[in-house]
Amino acid sequence: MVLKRQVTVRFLGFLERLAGRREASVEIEDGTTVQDLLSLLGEAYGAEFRAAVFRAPDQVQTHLRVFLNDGEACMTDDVTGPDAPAKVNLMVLPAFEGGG
Amino acid sequence: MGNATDEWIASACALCYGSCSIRAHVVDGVVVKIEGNPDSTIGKGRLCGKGVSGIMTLYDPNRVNAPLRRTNPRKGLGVDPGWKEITWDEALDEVVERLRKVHEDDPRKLFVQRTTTNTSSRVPINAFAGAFGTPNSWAAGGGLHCGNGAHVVAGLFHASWSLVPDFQHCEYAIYFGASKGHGAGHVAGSNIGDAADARVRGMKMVVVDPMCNFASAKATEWVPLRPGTDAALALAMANVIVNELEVWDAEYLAGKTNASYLIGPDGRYVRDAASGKPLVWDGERKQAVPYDESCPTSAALLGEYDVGDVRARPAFSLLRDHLRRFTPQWAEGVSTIPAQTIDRLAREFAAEARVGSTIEIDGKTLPYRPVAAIYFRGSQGHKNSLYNCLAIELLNQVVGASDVVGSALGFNPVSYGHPETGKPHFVPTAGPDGLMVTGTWVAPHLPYPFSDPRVPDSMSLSGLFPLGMNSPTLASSDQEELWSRFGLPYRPEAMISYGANSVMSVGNAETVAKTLERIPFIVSFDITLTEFSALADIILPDACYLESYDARPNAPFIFNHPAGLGEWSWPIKQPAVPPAGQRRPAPEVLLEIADRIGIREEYNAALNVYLKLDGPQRLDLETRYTYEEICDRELTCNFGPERGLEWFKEQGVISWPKRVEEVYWRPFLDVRVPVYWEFMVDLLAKAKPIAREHGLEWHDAYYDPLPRWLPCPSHEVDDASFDLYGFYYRDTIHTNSFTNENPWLDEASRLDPFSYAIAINATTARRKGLCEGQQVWLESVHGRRVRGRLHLTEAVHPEGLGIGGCAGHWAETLPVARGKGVFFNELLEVDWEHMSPVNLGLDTCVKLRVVP
Repeated sequence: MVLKRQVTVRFLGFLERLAGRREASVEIEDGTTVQDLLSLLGEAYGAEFRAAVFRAPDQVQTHLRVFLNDGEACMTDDVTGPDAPAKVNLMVLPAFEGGG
Repeated sequence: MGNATDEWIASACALCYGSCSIRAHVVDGVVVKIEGNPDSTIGKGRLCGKGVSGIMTLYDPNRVNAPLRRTNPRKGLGVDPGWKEITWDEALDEVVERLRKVHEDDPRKLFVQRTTTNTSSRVPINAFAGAFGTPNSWAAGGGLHCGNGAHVVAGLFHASWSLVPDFQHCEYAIYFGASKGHGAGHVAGSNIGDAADARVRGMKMVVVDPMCNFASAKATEWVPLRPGTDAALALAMANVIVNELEVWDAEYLAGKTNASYLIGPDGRYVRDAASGKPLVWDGERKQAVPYDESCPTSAALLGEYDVGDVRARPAFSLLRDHLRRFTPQWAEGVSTIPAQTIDRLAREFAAEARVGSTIEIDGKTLPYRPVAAIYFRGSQGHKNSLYNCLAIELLNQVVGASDVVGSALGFNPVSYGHPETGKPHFVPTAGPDGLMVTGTWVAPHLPYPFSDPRVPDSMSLSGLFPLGMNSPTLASSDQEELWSRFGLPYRPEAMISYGANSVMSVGNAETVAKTLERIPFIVSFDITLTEFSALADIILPDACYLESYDARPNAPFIFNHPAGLGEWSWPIKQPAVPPAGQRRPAPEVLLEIADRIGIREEYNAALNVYLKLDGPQRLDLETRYTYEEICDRELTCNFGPERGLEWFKEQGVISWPKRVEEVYWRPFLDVRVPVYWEFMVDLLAKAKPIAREHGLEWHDAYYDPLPRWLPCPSHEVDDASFDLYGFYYRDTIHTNSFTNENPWLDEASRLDPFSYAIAINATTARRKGLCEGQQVWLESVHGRRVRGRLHLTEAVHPEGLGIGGCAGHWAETLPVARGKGVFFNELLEVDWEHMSPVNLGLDTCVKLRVVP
């Protein structure tokens, strides 16, 4: 049996504009990774959102930073693990340290 | 701090982006002298004339001391803004109200720009742009002119912002329009000494440049060339090396590049059906295998092989054939460099590379390739900058002179961190197809991998041109037409500028000013009022570098830290004196603005990312911090809880030894670099249909996987009366347009025969009846004109007109700089015709005629 749970996703930076909202409640299955969650959101919020998150199909932008509450997460992190938070902060930032 | 009677304050310079470590002597609260800080490897105690003169910038009587509000609603060049002093509360109330509305409406309508001169602007301003949610930001002209080609190629091959010779071991360096170690640019103070020591040690140095100035004058040999033809020389040299001399480093090419990857008739990699990995031909097993399953000694570089139904060749084999067309005789016609000279340079480079040799350092046996081909602003400031830089880089690659002992070194792409903390830590890794991904980077996106081309959604159009780092379309004459073509759904409504003077630093002032006039609200952090300030609505008086904090004036190390063996140093910038008048450090003001707009969480999150804050040093997203607290967190995050801002205020800098594996890292890391740009085939296939669909003129020639020389617009001018090539060079006396207002540097420029003049070849001048000191107009084919004084010299190419820096100010608020020198950029067009259709590089050479 597949267990499901709700997480609250908060969109920071320009993801808020792309999602058209600051917060959303998303139903995910146990074992969902950060990348899976991003794919779900990409499906939900359309092409512009997907282009901001994925540099090519199934390849997340190399400059994407994802915050799981106050910690930075890897794409392979399990969003539903035993210590998983109920709230996920998402933010997309360019990979520069500052520019030329 | 400023109240002590006599003290030395360790800090960092900001008269150029080199950011050398300094000590400011403060007596009775007054800075009386600035010296280099011998405790830091960044500058090594040396300081150039610009750094010494910083005292005059600090005490410039024309500094802005209070917030100003424009009273004249009309904007334009030569229009008096009618500045009126207002309070900080009044200024910030208006700024916050305007920005909040933009943020609520569409954050992309905010356009953010900053100067390249002061590196302390990077993180605060870029984090603000990221937090606000706008993709529209740039480093104005400085960033646009210097790096779309050079930085991308250095990043792809060296995981670094730029490159220098290994001054400690190199025996033969050839510079193409670069001045590393001769007064300007990245970590200038250290490089000056290192370059001089290398020359004393016996390093031969050849400088290819239309002008014999800072680097050439100290070189073994100056090779004058026609501006913008660097690729022709480099390709011809490469041809001689691999086809006539048959010199190449097979082990390096097979193990550290994609030279052995098999290429099919379509120009793409032939891939393993199961794994998708590029295949190489294994000579021992006599079959094609994935690139990571063959050892470098058995992977074929030459030949032709059947792989299934496909006839394939190793990339190096294609490169070798590709180069045959670029003969020295052909290159002479393009560059004016005699074929005999080209042939000799190639032979010298190949011989000095000593392919196959090793050297022992710290008990480790390492490859020894004591040659380096170095490129920078001169070779890159052209429409074809990408191929110019790639062609030069191939010289390093074919002989394996890349991040090994004696070779071309990216400066510091590998750091294993301080021995006690392991930070800062960054190491290149293998990305898609085994190609190198930088461990850290400086610009908005990594050199590799990059996004798929798509319909652009930013003012820069970078979505369609993922190789670009900066884009002229942010200030081009045809920006509205280009934005309309691609259906950009917004226009800039507000701008934040941090110390930039884009009216002068991008191209001709009329074009840039018109783009700025269309922005309804501009707020500018400035220390003096410039030509750009006159188009702003609100001026916020910034504290200068001697009045403010920065925890990272030299981070990341790939930008401003000496290469080679020695020490790492991490200094801070701190106030020598408190800000005078109502000046406030811009990073503090940005924190307040972010807070009042309601983007505190985003700003803190962005700072966590950019500063790599983790553990207890990570900023809580909902807490308001001061900039000093943030600096403290970055320092304790990197160097432990006992070494925070207070520790650094006392010590100024922390240093620790470099490891051999950090400096000569190439043999230690399993990463490859692309001598064959297979990704260009894919980029072309995806970008061209989008461009065509939107009616954009297109040029396939810029998308070949192997480099060629392509002419600049100036090379294609038919009117014979325009017979000279104008270019500007980095005057070591000045940085961009900023330092012209400094009285000491102005005096130095007035004493220098070149700094404020137009350098013209003496024979050419006499043939035209022109004489020393004559005032003339320079006129472009587009009818743009600048006036200046001729200086006749043998030290410039017969077809060249060399102009120093970015002078010729006209703002009445800059009384020292006003009316001095030549405003070269006024001659530059800023439009699609003059930008590269692959990386958006702006062409900065221009065909001119002299009008007495």
